[in-house]
Amino acid sequence: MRDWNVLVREKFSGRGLDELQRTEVVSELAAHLEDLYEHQRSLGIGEAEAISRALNEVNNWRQLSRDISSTKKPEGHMNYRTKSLWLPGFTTLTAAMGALAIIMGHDVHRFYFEPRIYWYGSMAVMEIYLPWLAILPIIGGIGAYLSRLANGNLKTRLAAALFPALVVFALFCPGIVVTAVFEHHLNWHVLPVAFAGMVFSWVLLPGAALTLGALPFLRSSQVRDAEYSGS
Amino acid sequence: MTKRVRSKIARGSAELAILSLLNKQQLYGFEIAKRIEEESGGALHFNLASLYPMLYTLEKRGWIGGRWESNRAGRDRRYYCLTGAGRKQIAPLRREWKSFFRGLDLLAGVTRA
Repeated sequence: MRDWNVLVREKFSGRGLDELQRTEVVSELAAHLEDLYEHQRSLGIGEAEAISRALNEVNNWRQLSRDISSTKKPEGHMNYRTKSLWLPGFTTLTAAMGALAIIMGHDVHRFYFEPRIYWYGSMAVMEIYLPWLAILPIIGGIGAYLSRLANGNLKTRLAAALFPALVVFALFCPGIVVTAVFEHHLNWHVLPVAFAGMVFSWVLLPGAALTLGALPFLRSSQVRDAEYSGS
Repeated sequence: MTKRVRSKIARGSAELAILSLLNKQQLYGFEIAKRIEEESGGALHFNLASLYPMLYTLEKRGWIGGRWESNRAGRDRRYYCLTGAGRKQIAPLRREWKSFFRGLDLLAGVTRA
């Protein structure tokens, strides 16, 4: 009786795999060939022909070995979630905050030292907020695109695109609580309105702009070709 | 028997084919290949070289899990089963393929051929 395990071990180099992984893959591939051979025999096919058919399952063992090794070896420091969510998410966050800083440019000084005059003025809206909002669709698109490149699903792509808005919202929530606790001079009726205004301006509108840019990448992508060779 | 689909087209369908089969029951590699061929009426065929890299890819993504068990003949085989994450992928993949076929049909009149 043919020892399929020996045959596969000779042909499958499994370079890059540790011994345990290699042994397991060899055992699995050998079992497959053995099953195939026995299936052919059960159909009444002669031994030589059955062996030949089983061996024809793989045209290029070197290529198969490369394919399996690249799939089996550890991903390194970046796993699927990192590549599909955190990396695109932090890219959109950095890009959104960077764009805001660039638009503010030398006016940052005025923003910090004359916040009331500057920030509540319509000039700030026209010169900073609206241009920033106009850039956000591009940034949202980049986030969703990067997530899709890493095989992110629909929710992950949307989360990557919306990341800056989600982070701002996550900061606002404890912020409003801290303000309510420590800023005793503030009128309680003002807080919810201020919170709603801030959420609208810095979460909902930017979120809508980011989603707009992400839309082309949220649709079902073309069917991904499997990343392997063979047959 | 249905005409066998060319390998490049068949490869793209491997994810959905494997997940759909494992959604019904756990199977080992040879059974998966055999069932795909049988249940697709012979249209889809995955040989060893095309099947295992895909199985390992799906396993790495956490969509399927594999463990060694004895089969009915008492031989050790690596059985694959669907994970929760894998089960969640089936509906979006089906929609993706449906949209793909609809688009292709509009473009090339596939169902009228």
